[in-house]
Amino acid sequence: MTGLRHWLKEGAAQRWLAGAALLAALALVVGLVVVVVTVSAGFFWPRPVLELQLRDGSVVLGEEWGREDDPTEAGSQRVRMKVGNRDVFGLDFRWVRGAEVAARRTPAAAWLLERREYGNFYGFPQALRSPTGSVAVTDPSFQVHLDHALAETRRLVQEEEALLRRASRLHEPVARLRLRVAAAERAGRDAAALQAELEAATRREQTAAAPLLAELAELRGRAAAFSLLMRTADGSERELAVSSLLRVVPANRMTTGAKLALYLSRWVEFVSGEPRESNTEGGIFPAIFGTALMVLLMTLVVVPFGVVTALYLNEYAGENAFTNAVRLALANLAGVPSIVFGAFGLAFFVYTVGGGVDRLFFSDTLPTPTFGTGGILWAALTLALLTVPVVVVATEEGLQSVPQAVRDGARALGATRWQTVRRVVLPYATPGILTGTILAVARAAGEVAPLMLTGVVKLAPALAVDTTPPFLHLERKFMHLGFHIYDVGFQSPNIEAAKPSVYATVLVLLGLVVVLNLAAITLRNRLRRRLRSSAV
Amino acid sequence: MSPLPTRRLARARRLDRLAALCITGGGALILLSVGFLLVFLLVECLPLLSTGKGTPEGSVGVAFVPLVASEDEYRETVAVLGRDGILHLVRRDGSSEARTLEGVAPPLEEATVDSSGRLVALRDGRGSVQVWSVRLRPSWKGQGRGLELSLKPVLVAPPLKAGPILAVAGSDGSAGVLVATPTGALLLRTGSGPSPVALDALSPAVAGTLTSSLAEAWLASEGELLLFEVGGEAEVASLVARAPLAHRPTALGLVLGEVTCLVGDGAGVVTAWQAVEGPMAGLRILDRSATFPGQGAIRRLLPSQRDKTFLALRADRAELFHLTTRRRLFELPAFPSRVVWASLSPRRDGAFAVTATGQVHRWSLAIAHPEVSFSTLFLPVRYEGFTTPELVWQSTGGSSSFETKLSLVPLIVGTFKGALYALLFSAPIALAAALYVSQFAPRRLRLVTKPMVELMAALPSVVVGFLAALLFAPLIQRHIVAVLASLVTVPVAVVAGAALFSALPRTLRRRLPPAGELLLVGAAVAAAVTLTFALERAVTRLCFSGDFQAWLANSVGVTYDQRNAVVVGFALGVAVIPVIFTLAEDAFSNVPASLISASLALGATRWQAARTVAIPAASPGLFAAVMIGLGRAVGETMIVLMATGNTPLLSLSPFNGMRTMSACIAVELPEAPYGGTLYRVLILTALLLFAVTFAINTVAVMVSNRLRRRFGRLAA
Repeated sequence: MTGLRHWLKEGAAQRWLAGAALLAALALVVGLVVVVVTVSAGFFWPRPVLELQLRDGSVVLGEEWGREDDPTEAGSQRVRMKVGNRDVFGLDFRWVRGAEVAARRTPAAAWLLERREYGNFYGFPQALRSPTGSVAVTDPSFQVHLDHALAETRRLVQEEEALLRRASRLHEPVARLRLRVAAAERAGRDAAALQAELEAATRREQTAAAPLLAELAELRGRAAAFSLLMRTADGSERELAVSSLLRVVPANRMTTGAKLALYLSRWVEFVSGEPRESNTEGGIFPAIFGTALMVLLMTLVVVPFGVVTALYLNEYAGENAFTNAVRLALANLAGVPSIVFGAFGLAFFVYTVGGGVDRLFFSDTLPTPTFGTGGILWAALTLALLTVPVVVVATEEGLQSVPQAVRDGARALGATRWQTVRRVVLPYATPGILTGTILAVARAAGEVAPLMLTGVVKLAPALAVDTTPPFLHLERKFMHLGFHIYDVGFQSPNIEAAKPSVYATVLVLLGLVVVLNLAAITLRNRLRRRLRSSAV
Repeated sequence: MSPLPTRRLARARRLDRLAALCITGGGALILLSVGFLLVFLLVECLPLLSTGKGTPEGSVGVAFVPLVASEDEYRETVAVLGRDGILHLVRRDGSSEARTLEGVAPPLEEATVDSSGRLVALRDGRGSVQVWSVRLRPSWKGQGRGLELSLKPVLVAPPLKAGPILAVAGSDGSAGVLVATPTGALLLRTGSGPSPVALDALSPAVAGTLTSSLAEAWLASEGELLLFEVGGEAEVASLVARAPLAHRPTALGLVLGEVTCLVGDGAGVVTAWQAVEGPMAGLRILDRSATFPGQGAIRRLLPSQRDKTFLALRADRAELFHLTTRRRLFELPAFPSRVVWASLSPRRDGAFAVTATGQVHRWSLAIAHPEVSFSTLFLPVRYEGFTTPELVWQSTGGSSSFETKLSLVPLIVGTFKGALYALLFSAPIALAAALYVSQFAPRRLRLVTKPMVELMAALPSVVVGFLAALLFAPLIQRHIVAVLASLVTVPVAVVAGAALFSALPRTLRRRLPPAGELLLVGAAVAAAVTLTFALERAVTRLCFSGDFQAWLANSVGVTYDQRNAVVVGFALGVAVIPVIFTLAEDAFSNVPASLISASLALGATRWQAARTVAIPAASPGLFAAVMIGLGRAVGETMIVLMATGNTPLLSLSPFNGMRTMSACIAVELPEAPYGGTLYRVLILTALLLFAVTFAINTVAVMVSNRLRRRFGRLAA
């Protein structure tokens, strides 16, 4: 007994327990990152198209999306099949119980079609119809014809989109006028002149749009001439417009190289494309763009603000009650929950400042708000307030690394304090400022809660930068990677189908934040080495 | 060397002064912005304190003897029915217009209006009871807004022998009027044939009121309150519940929603009653839910059509009360004497009173947030339909008569519940890990752990929350027994491993490389976890008859939510561990090495040196670390939003979800109308959150400052 007590006193057990705690903490980080990477990276890899022959005679065609223990029957498993063909079956997924399956095949002829609408289609190609005639799948030139049809319809769709963009630009003056008329009527002002202007604008739009519409109809007609005849698993035939197809994947006949190419092209589409089907498919380019622009705007505010504060604390002020108060304020800024900044951003920036701007400059469209609603500017300012402490702390570390001798030398040569700071201290402290900036950017890229109050949306119809003057639209709402994860993962109507998209977004965001942080850590380590050497 | 031109020198000096000014200003700006943030949030929620006020808007008058009156939605015209059977439309500017009620024989004996002010019940000179629809509809003609009066009779009953008219309710198509009789009351209705429905109370009714569906009628006799239900196949009125009254009732009124009946009595007290399920199933009893004391007999009770506010008219005063808060809001100032009728405007933004001489007095009312008071925010409140006072957060309901329930307590409890479970999980791990890294581990390990922990701190909380909710919550649900068991088995296995290792011969132990110890610990942990999960099925079958959740529900009576406090504790832990770890490690490394060296030199083991020197010396810093970790856990939003299920439950069970203050702000503030009650209450929540974290951070900063001063001396 005394031996045990003695052993406990010596503390080997405590040591081991503490070690276990450290391992647990490290395992959490590594585990999370590994889980995200393994789960996310696999979704875009092409899977074989399975054909399950069921005991009741029916056939299920699709991709296997995981299996689990069958809750209705102990000891057996069930398979989640992505059967696609949402326009036919209504749902993308179905469970197939292990006991139901009579045979499993991977038919070489089965195709996966990725479509612009209604998700994936699984089936067997039959024939291609084009203006020049019909080509059966058995025809050796089928593939050539299909490639041609895909390229042709893709070109037509692009032309169509360009036309639609032109048409919507034509509509802009009318939409603006309509807002002004409505506002004038609500305010009880005389709207007759505006009304007349609106009618004239509408007529102008109609005359200008007429040839566009005719061209559009012609383009659509030409695109509709290409169609692909597919046979579904249950034997029925469906004709799909080639223009509705994004990719044609002969999933069971692909070489590893082709699979890799498809995998990469899916990632490229994901990163550079627009979202489709209420964000469950397609790309996340607007979210990446929105995140980047918001962070850039924030940087423009937070870096000068943070650097000035750090300069004040480190170069200008001594240790006194006032600087202590500033430090306390900074510590609190760092500790106050981000949602409080969000609430402040909404109440102050959006409603008070934005509302004031609207009353001053955009009163003709009130009560439809312009700046008096969440927007990218307000989100950036809110996050700037949130990330000031990060910049200050890192910049201070950079400033402290500047040897006092260097400052003294500059002053001894007759430089004023500002000249010393600008020519000597700041260049020396650049790595610190850079570290702070990177950390602030990483923090802002991952922050979601304040944005939910200050202007993030699930789907922004227009980017905040475009070709209509004034080119940068600070009042517009924007999409954000972090909010995209929350929205698609939790508010989506079809969560299972959205899984690849949302996990890939997680990977992109995590990758971004990890890379930024690693960069900051590397920079700071370099700075610290210098700090150590300069201290010697 | 030539001297610098003086102009350049002067410019440099000017620039220097300007820079100093700007930089000092920038430093002050930080302080200002924190102060401004605090003050601005405070100012935004200050209006919650005000009970509102009424401002007299003067009076206009026409000479006639008024009976009843109602006002239009825009508060421009008051329609006053005079004893002469003429409806006078009295406008703000004093002009008026008269419209005769065709077929009504003057002089009218009595009249009353329904709660919406659109139905007027009267008894004319021949004793005929009639109901008229009086509507002031706004109409837009060109630039201005006009009012159109539509006036039509909807019910004309032949003269009958009965007491005074008690109440009128319903719509144009189906109106009902309640008339007192010696044995109770009579309900006359449109379109239900000739026979009126008798409400049998065995004594004459003094006051009464009707729901607008005409399905329920409340009557008050000398000493009793009675609730009747009208309907069924036979279209009869049946007495549902009754309750004795302390004083002689003088007026009844139904609060918006028609669940609560207000009873005003001759002693000046207003009581609120509702029918609740009694002890016997299917039988309802009348229950007094609130009392509003006051002086002077109540003449009329006039509930608002917008919210749970009501106006109590006494002999020479009119006061506003709110049902939810049980508060007297204020009294209408400069109230005239000899008031015949008074009421609230349809939008509850004004009030008017008509005196016996035909003067129409108006007030504008500014009552922004009557449903909020300190007690509704923080104390249990007995809401409509509740039998006991409760703490509930339910900010929106299905109908306009919904009673908002804005108790912050469930949110506060949820916040601290989540933070507490997070700290239970993360504080031991983080502190022990920091201890290990700073006291036991080889120096090189720090170079690895530091960046990894920083990376952990940088993980976006939305990612952590997402994984916790969609990946780990189902996993934990499936393996809850193993997860909970691991909390015991892993430490036991580690201690056992340590014992085994100590039993090895000293020479063998010496040969272990410095990092090897950690590998052995890892092996022990891995073995324990594997074994626990392998045995899970067997243990579950043995102890919980195969299904832990069913066992929990049946034997303990606790339901299991998939997204619960265990999941949140774990996920929040991921966010909190790096915070605590970093600060604790700093605290440990601030302990002067000389102290520890001295202890080791006296023969202490590393653990003994840590226990007796490092931990006590660093304890204020460790405390500060945990405090700041708590602050982080309290304010974290996305993780709790995603991993809690977000239901404002008041339950401390680890297997239930919750809603935290932060998540509530994130979800509800974007939808809350600017300046509305919900908006201000949520801003108040943000302010509370700010205050809590401010206090926590300030304490932590002060503690660590003191620590630094103490060891600063020691090191010197």
